[in-house]
Amino acid sequence: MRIAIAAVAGVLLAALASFGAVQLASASQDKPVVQSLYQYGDR
Amino acid sequence: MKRTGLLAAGATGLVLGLLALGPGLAPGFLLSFDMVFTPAPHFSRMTFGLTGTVPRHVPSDAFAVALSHVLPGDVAQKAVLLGIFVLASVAAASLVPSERTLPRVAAGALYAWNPFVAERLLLGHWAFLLGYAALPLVVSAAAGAADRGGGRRLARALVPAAIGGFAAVAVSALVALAVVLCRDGRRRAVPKTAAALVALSLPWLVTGWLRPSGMPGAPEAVGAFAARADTPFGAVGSLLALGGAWNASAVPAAYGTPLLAAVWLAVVVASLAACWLLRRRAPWPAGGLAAAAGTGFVLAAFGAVAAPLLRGLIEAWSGFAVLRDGQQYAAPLAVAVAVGFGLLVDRALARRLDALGVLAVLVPVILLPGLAWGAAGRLHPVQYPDSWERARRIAAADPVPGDVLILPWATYRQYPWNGGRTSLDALPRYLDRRGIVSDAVIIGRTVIPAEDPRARRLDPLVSGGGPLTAGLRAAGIRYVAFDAETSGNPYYARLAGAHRVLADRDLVLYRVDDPARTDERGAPVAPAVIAWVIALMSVVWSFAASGITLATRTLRDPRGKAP
Repeated sequence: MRIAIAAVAGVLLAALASFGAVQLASASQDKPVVQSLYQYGDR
Repeated sequence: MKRTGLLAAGATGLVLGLLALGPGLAPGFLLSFDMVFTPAPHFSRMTFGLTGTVPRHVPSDAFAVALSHVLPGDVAQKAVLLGIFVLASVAAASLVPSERTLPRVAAGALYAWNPFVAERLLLGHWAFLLGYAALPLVVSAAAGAADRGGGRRLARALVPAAIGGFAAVAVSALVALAVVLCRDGRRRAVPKTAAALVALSLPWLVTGWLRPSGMPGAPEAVGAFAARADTPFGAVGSLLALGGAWNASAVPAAYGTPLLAAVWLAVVVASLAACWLLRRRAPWPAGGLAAAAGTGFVLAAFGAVAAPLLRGLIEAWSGFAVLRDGQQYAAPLAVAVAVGFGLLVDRALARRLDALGVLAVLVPVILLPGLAWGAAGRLHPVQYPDSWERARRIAAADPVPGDVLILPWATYRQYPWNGGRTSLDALPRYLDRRGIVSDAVIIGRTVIPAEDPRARRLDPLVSGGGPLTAGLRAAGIRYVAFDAETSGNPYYARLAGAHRVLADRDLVLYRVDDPARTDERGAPVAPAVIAWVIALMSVVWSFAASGITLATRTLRDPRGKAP
């Protein structure tokens, strides 16, 4: 039972993380200056 | 030193330069990070740092423009780059206290071909590399600065750094002062050294000092520009191996793999040990060079090991920002490594290990193959698109004054016609009008604020979402140029009322009617003119001594005064 709960919680967390990452990525497109196209470089 | 030794070192430098540029020598321009040459550059207020921007490009841009009036722009660029390899090789060879040719050639080869040169070349820091190439000449000239005519010789050795500008002079100043302070006669030599450094720095010193908005420090950029590990030996170990530049994209191919990096580090450590153990072997300025290399190494590592301290120093005085891009201060260490390498080869030859001596000349290339053949294809020649030339002609033929706003609103580009390689936006140097580009620099998640006052004033308008045309007209903008993201750019909808005069895959140009006249507030012209006159007179004076050139006089007596 614990394993099933952990699995469901894990799937939910992963879905939330994916959703958040997509939201952040699409929000960043509004400002072209932060696209990697315009980076001086990375460390 | 025998003339044949110099010729051999020069020839080696030329061969290494040809090998490094490889296919990059074909017609076309090499656009890599900060290196931008254009076909028909012109002198402008921007060239001389009079537009209010930080004069990092002074006087190297003026040198590039002047050279491009004599040679085609792309030929001028290749000539400068090959010249760096030749000068570096000859200069390092001249500093090796040996009567044999091979040790000098080996030292020259290592000094011209190492991770420091590779990373700075890929970063496009050709102006800085000019100063780097002449650094061994500065060592020998500073050693004899107290002698009669010593100031003149030192000024002559500093000319390549003076052309390079601010960063090149900063490192050369460190070396010259360290050598002078470690020699007898420092009371006579220090004022001469300081006078030479100041006189040759005046073009950027004056415009930077009189810049209305002061000198920005941007302490938040310390972490971004600090030395980074490009070998398995950490940031400090990487600096010791003469690498460690801040930008991961500037690391040459195959450099940093454990085996090559370990062998290379062993060569560096052995060379430094030889440099120190054999320091009394001949009257050459070993103490001064050791002081310069040691101090430079500490400064190079400063941002990586004590970032909060450096940030605090920059907050206290923005001038400490010169230490942000720390790796460049490892240049004096490269001089010590090269000389030590030459001494090692000299020892090998003295023990009749001739084959080892010959192999030594090839060691730098074997251990750093990623610099060869246009840095493994990363220095690739390209032609500017035809639409750029059409845009230049349209703007040049237009009698109405006004500036050019360049979008997208960022400093660096990855032009498709440049193979997607990162480069500084080339349009401001390409057009005959003042180009305004956002000079805010983005490194990872760090954004270093714009320094150009015009860009800062326009930023709220451009970065906002509203109509642009009226605001641009009031700001004195005559043209808006898009040199990236030309297809369906959301900015187009904000330019209602502006006329599209050129549309191409690589460039779109809009014209704005009736732009307002604007007065650009930069450094005043009169002090800048005086600064240039003094600097140019100093250069002429340094060469006019007796008609003897840098190559013969400075190199003939490379060891300076005996201790």
